[in-house]
Amino acid sequence: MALPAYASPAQRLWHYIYLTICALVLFFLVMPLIAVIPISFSSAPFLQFTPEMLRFDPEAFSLRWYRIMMGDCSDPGITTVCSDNWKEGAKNSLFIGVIATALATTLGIFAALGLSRPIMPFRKLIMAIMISPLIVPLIITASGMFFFFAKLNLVSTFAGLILAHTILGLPFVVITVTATLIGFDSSLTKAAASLGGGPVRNFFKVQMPLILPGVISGALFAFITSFDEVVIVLFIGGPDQITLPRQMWSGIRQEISPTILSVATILVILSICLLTTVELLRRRSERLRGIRPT
Amino acid sequence: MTNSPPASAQPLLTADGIPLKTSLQRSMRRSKWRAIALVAPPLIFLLGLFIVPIGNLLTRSTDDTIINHQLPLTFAMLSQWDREQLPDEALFEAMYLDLASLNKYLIADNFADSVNADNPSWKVQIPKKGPYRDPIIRIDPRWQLAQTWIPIYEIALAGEDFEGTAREKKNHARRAHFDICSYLTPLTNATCSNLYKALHRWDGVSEPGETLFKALYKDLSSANKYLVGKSSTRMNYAKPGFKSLIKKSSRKLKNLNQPPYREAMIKADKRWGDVAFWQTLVSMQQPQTTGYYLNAVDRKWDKDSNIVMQPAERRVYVMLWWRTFLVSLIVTVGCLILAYPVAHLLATLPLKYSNILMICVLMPFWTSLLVRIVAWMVMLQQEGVVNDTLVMLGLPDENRLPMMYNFTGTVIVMIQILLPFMILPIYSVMKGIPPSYMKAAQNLGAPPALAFLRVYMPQTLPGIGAGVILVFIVAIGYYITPELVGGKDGRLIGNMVAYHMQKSLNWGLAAAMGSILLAGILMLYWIYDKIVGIDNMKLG
Repeated sequence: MALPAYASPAQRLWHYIYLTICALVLFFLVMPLIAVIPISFSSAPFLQFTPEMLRFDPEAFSLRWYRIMMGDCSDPGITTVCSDNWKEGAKNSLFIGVIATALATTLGIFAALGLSRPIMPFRKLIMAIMISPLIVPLIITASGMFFFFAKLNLVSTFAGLILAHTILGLPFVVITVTATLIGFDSSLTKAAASLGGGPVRNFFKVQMPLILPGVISGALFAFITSFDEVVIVLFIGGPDQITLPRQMWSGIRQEISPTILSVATILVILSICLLTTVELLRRRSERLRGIRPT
Repeated sequence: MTNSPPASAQPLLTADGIPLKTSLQRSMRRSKWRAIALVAPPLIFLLGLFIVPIGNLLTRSTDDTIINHQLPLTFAMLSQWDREQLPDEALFEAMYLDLASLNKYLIADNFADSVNADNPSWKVQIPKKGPYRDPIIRIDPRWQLAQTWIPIYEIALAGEDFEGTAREKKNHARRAHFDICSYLTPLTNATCSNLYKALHRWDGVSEPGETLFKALYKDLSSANKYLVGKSSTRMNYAKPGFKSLIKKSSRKLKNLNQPPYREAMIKADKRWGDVAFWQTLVSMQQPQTTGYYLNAVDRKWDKDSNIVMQPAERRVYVMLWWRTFLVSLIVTVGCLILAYPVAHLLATLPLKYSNILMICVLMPFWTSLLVRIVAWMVMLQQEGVVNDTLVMLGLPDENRLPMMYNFTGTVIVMIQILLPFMILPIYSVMKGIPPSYMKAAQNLGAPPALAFLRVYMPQTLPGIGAGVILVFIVAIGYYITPELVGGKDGRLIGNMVAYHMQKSLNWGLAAAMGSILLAGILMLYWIYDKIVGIDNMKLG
């Protein structure tokens, strides 16, 4: 939005104030995440910019916290607990996240396909139920599941966590896939059926490629939800279920060290990669469905 | 005259001769069933593993059966009492029997609403050192029949009948210990290991002998300790001091085995002579209670069934609800003020610039919540980036601002975390407003501020509404952020739910607070649905 040439001085002044405010807000949004990155390379065990770092003294920077994160405990200056927990946590989070995402995606596609059919009784109610895990506060979900899973002997098991995370991821898949199905031309499936394809084959050959961007971005949302989830792990996870967020939680509560900033840096970079993927997918979806980018 | 075809009485037929109407109906029915079949698996999954557990949690908020299991006889006789004077010997005896004797587990159907207080079985004393068989049979003759024992016998046998590793077998057997106890008592955490062993030595047909009765007595005695512990905790919620009273007296009541009980109990603990403790029992008489809900808003029942405020030193929750509401409101308004200009900028900039700025908005949205909290700790702590910068700019070193582990910290961090939820809906509405409207208004003579207020702003209201409700819903149930950065005065109701779930184990209260919270959120969600429609919910 450019300022017109005829703008009065007051309008000009207001315009620059407006731009400054916007810049400050965006700065407020991003700054904390950026500030973490240099401190994670500090060689000092403090969560702050040391005077040496501000002078760009090469001595002040090191990879020691990354080494400790990877479970390398040979560092002589370690004051905090050093263990394989970070690696273990990342492995468990990945394992739980991948399976929960696969389950949530499968179930979510079913739900979205059903809800997008022209005749669907109680569509609104069912949609509300599908989205409800997103609405109910996590603390209530976690409490409810704690009692229920205890009865089913699912507390302190990976199966329990996977099921819980599947539930949390499901709404994202339903929402994104339903959104891609809104512009879906149903004559395509009819054409495929008239050409003699079976319903399963038609789904994978005709529908799936078109809704794929929605499926992938829903799956990414589901994965990131599971990968970032801590409340349910705290409630129904046992000592064996160390996940990355749980390890971070105990790191923040007990022994906050720059190791946690190394983990944070890696996760920030990971999130930038995911964000880019989703953005590219969204554009591809719009191109495929013939919606002009706005 | 035109030669119009005669109005046919024949219905329209399809190619295979079936009436079109029938055929259409059939195809629509098939389509409907196909849609239902597609939705069924995820729906059943969610209903079974999400809706049912939440509903189950909510029922805990009114469940008061444990106290009825503990004091069936006392409650049966409580209605005869005038609630003003100290109760007479009969009620003291009932209390003694409820606390000290095991008869309530042995009498059939003793948990029903209609306990018969005149039943002589209540007063049968089982001698501590045995023999146990005869008194137990006198309490309920059915115990001498083998068939009464068969259900627990089967549980015990099933405990052994299991293939697997030694550890799995052991766990399975332990499960059977719990199962036997939960069959006989209202408890799920008591173990009946004596019965488990004794039942294994029994053949399942012959008349039950003294060994079985001894095991029954022992296991029920230890189960009774659990029940006393659990129910006295419940009674303590209604009146502080009850727990220690019950614990202390149940130790002393052991040496007491004949009437009169009134004098002896008051001698054992003089609080039994305090009519206030007896009056508290009245509010616990029903198996369903609203007590937890009242407690969640700092109120309680008094002896005449009026709702009164808790004593001043026990009032915390109203303040917490109020603070939760206040934090959510500040966060929502803060987000709105910060989001509006940014959304406007994003919506009016050319695409290639706005895409870059959009990444700034979406990046925090995609970053782990805990990472963002850690990042804010780095920024806001005493020695943090913000304070360091302020000191560099001339703030005296000893005046560093406390911005972490307090109310301010919670609000700042929550605003940053929830800001994308506000920017995105407003942005998507602003995107659809043609810029020519503002120009037209100004052409017609409106100053820019008036044009904005009268023309532009009203059109963005749907976006504002959506963003405000979304942010408010998320903020009001927040738990992680206040827990980590809130310190003492930044704790919200979500943290209290977690505290009662994990630390104090007052699950009824946790469930009641959760229900109130959930009801509020569902109401807001309903409004959100009216304004935006849940189908229009978009992500990213």
